[in-house]
Amino acid sequence: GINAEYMGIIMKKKEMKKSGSTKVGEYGYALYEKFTTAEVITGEDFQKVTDDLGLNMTTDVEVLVFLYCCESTTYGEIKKEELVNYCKKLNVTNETNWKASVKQLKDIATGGNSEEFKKFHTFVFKYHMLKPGQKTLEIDSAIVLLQLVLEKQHPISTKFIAFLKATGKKALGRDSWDNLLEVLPMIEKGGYDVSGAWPSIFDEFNSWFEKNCKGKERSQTMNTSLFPL
Amino acid sequence: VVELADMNNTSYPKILYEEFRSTIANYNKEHAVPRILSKTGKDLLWEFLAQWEKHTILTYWMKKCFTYLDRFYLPDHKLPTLSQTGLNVFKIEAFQKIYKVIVRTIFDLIEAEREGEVVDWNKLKKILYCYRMIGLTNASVEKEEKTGELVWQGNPNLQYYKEMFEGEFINQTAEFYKKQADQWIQLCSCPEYVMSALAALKKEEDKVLNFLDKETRPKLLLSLEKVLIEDNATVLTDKERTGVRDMFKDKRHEELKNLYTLLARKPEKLNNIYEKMRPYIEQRGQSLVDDKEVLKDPITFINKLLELKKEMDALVRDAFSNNASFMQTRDRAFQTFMNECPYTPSFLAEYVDMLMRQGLKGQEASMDTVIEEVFELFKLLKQKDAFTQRHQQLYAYRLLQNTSVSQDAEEHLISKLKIELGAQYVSKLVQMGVDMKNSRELTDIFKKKEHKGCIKGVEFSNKVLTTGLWGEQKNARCKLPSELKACCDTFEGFFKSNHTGKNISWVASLGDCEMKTLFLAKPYTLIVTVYQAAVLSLYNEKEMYTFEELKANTGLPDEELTLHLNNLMNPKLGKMLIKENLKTPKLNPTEKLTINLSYASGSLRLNFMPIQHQAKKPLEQHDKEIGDEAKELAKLRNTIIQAQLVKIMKGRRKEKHNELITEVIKQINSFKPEPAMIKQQIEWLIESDYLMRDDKDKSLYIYKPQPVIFTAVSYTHPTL
Repeated sequence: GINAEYMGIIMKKKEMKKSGSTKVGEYGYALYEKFTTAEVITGEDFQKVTDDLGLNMTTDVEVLVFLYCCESTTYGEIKKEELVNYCKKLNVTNETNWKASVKQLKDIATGGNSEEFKKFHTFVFKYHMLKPGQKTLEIDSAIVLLQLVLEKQHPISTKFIAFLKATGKKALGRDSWDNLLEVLPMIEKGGYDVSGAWPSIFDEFNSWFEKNCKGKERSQTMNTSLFPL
Repeated sequence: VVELADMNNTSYPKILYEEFRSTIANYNKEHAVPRILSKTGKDLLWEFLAQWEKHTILTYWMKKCFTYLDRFYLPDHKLPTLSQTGLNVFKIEAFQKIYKVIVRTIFDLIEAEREGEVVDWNKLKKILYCYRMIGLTNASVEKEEKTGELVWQGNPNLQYYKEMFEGEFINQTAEFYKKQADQWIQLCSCPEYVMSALAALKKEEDKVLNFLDKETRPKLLLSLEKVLIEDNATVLTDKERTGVRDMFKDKRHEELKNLYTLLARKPEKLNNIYEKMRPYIEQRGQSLVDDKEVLKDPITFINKLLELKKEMDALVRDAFSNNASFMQTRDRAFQTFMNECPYTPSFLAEYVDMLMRQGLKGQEASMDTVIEEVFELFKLLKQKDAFTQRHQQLYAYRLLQNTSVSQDAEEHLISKLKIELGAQYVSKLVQMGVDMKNSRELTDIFKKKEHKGCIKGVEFSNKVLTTGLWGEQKNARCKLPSELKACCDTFEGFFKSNHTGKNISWVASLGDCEMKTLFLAKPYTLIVTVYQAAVLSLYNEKEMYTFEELKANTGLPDEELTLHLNNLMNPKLGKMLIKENLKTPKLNPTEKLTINLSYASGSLRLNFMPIQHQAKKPLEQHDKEIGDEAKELAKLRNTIIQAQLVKIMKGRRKEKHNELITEVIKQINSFKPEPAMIKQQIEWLIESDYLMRDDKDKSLYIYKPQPVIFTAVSYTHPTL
């Protein structure tokens, strides 16, 4: 009687999902089932996801952007709701625009100074702090992330990485990471205020930069002017 | 007159009044003025004076005669009083005709005086009195009770005096002195100028006081001070060989005092003196601080510093009347060189240590006075916490070894430190004192037991202190001689019976023993360390041990054992132990050490203990100690900066970076925090989630409310 009706309604709902309804994000549920039946997507299943999008799990920055768009809250895992978030954010409603969403990921990653990129940048650090017991980012991981996330957008990051290595820093703190986007251009152009409120690591970087990099740049420009084309 | 005035005939009073008026007028017109004008120079003046005085008398007596008019007729008809009338008449008939001549003559006279002529100022005073009185309204001539003199009274009006005399007089005087000053400044030395200027000022001041209207004084002084002091102050003080710098250098305090007296009239010019005092004091101080010989001994250094301070205090007090700007300059100068020298805080602590241990032998000053002087130096330190750090260390030793001469003096200093720096800096000192007191009470109870502190024939005395309060002590483990062990065990038993759950560990390195020699002709008493006692007890069994054996039997490490053995082999005290190989000072493990059976010494009481602490050291060692302490100090400072940051942010909730740094620097007075240090602590607080940055303004910090831990309270319902 009632039970049968009830079951019938549920079956209908399931079917509706499977047919790819246009409700925002709903596709995420169906998508999720494509990859796993477990509580969360993790480990091998995670690899399935990245493969499906044509991404390299370990080397592509777009993977991080993916996690950002999911608003991922646990390191190394994707929950069902998070996949739904992804679909909502990037307007993924079917298989086609699911595969195509990779382009949006790329756009965000190369966003330079856009608001989206800033939020992504902040997310990256927070995400790595989700590992239990993490308070600061160990320097090797920091360098990898800097190369992945910042280097192409902000070439001065290379110098910053060199500085971190040269001065034997052990870790990078959240406050320092969060302020990178604002500070690095200042140091590059020479408008950095040492008496300001910036984390002291930037005071150090500024004087290191002035000592080691400014001279070289000058001599470089001199060279080019000596040989007129 | 009364009859005539009373008569209803209204014309009579009028006639009387007219008579009165015209009499005076005519007299002046026909007699007074011509006579005056017939004279010149001084005589002109004195004639004028005489006429004025005559007129005064005339008016007075006429007034007395016609006084009835004053009562009714004149007021009713709104006519001036008789006195006023008299005055007016004089003004119109005489004064206004000749006052210009008079004034010119007066000035001629004054000029003559400047050239050297003698002038009767008393008479001039009276003439000027006329000028002052001539403008009176409501005038009346009265007789002074005491002197019988006739004086004019009424509403003052100095118009004539000011217009005719005062202004010109001041200008003339100022002109004259300007020329004088120019001469003096060229020809005289600085002190000579000072004395001349002071004399001139005094002379003119006296003149004004005695002879002129009191209103003139401030105006005159203003002018004179300008030409004599203001205009020349800088040139004067800068003079070569006789100026301020030289006065300081040659310690000519009297000259400085006179100069100060002169310039103090125009206080804004005093900077010419104190701005030169500062480099002088700094230079004196710097030569002290640079003297490597002096720096070898902290006591000498501080003594010299105290001397210098006393000298400068006396200078500022005697020559400069403790003027605020001078006191400030002196203090700043001291601050400069005192704080340039990195040793000052710890040396000062060593000095205090010496004071507390030795007291004041043969000095007149009381302990309190000396402590005050030392404290004044302390207040000038920038790194006050470096002082308290070393002081705490040394105070601990003094308490442990009971070498303080006066506990009152110690507590006096501690209370002053508390006022200056706050309770947190002296809390450890206070706790140490309390610890000592508790220890005494406890050991007193112990001694009252049956054994009376004497266990197995050994008189035993100890202190019980709280771990961690007294700093780290070097404490090598040592096998105690059996007698000592018995004492320690007995006490330990007593202690544990009273304090369950507490443990004690024995710090043998701080102990000392008295041993009596029984094997020698004379009964010597040896004062030795516990370790030395352990070694010597062994010789009760055998006469000779190798170094290795001694080490095994006492359980002491090489370094400690060597140090304490060396003192027992000290030739100055007569060697108690004799080393086998006398050629090298080094001790080999197999070397034999024999007890000296033929030991002899002049005194019966001998101290073999190694010296615990010596203030006098080579500079390198001071440097090392300061370096070691610096790490500890840096940690403490970071903690203080953190605490201050939290306190400020908790109160303000939000604050900008620069304001926060400024406030922290303002609040901390035990050392000067570097902005970089403060910044680091801010970052630590951000990392630890006490603070966060504002999203829009990165230089604005926001205080994060800290999670409060609630303890759940369960209520029992009454009806259940």
